[in-house]
Amino acid sequence: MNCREIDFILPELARGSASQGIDPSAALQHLEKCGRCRSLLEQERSLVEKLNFLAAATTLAASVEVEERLRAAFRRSATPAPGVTPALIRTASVWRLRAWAVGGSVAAALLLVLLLPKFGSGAFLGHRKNLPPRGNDSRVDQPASGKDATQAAGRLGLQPSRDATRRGAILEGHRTAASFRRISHGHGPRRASAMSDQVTQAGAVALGPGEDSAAQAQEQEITSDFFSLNYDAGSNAVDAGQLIRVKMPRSSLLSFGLPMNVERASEPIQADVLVGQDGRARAIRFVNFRR
Amino acid sequence: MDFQEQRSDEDLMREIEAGSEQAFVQLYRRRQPGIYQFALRMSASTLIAEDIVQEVFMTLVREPLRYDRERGPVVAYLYGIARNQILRSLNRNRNKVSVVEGDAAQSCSESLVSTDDPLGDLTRSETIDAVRRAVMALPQHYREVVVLCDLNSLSYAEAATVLECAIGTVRSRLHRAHAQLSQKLRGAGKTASLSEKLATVRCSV
Repeated sequence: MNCREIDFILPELARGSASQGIDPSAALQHLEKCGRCRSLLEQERSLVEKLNFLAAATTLAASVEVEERLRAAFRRSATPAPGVTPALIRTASVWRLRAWAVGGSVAAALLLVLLLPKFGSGAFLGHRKNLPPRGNDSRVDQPASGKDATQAAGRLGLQPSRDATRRGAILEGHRTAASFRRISHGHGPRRASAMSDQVTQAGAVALGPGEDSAAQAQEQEITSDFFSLNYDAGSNAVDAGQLIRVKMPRSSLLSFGLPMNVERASEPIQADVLVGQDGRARAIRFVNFRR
Repeated sequence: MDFQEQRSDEDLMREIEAGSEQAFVQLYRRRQPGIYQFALRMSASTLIAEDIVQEVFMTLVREPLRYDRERGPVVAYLYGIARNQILRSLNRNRNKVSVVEGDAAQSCSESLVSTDDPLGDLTRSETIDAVRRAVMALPQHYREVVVLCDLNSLSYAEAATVLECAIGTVRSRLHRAHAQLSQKLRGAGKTASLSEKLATVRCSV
């Protein structure tokens, strides 16, 4: 073995681990005779030691959010919903930008919803009162005690659930969020699984003035699971709050890793925003209608 | 002793192909730190590094059957995907980050290594910081072999699979990379000692 051959295996000799095709005994024989190569080997050992320091000093890893998104994507791909393509997942940086955009959209929508009743919304509310209640839906039981509540729910633009109506438990502006839950695909991530079903609804549901709830009564409401809007750990625990229905750009779906029908990109999509008692939006779910 | 910890990457891949989320999570937690650090050292950006980790494992989600056991171990497969993503990212940002060989590359790359990056926060010691800077200042094809073999402890065979080259190429690149590293570290040492002398003179005046 000559000096040139030794040069190329110096890193392995310095680590004391020769790979296949290297004869350590031949290298050692050369090193005993060659002072230049011995010197280079010492330098190499010093360098390898420094590199080991660097390797040991670095314990960085990707954030927990990456794992959460990947797990959600894995679940979706394992059990795809009918007609739903494998989940789109945004890159982390795009995700952050989108999160800001969606947060802004939600905040703007919430502001509109909260301000509408205060500024000349009497005509708007009157218009909605004249609409046929959604309780006409044949899927919903109509016990005498629950009729008013059903009409109230109709004014809210929501369909009461069968159980809630049977119990006559629907009170205008006060019902549990769980009773609003509709058929869910079950393929989305349960981002807000820690949320309590005791969250209350204060009736701040608003649909567009042109929205005909009678037409929607003929449709079946489908919701996604809740997605957390808070990224700090532990903020998902909500004891009470409001569920507010808003309209959002359809592209918001992409921000949550949900597929979007490009042909309907110009149409807004409805969403239920869960607002905590502190006024902060905690979670969101998307609502779609199937005829 | 946890039985699950003993399962090899290949076993986990088989379970992932069968739809096991648990296996997916286990493989992710085992391999993502290395892939993240590989991406971080190549890109010098935590955002890009996270994107790359996500893309690597999304490939497993989208195409669990794509892994070919005959072409190499799982770790080489994952690092190979990461490397392709890194190169793509570097190409995309070529207009922002000029990669020039030689001394110009050194000064250029070192200027990219900001002192407030996460690596810098962790590597406090002067020696570690000097080594880190020297590694980051290496040309890309030398840097990747140093990061894979020296810092991420991949074998030459695994690195050769990742880099899609012969083991001899890995060996020669590593040799040249080490020569450059030694040179840079000697230069850094001289600069440091000179600055110490100047500081001493200023203090004594």
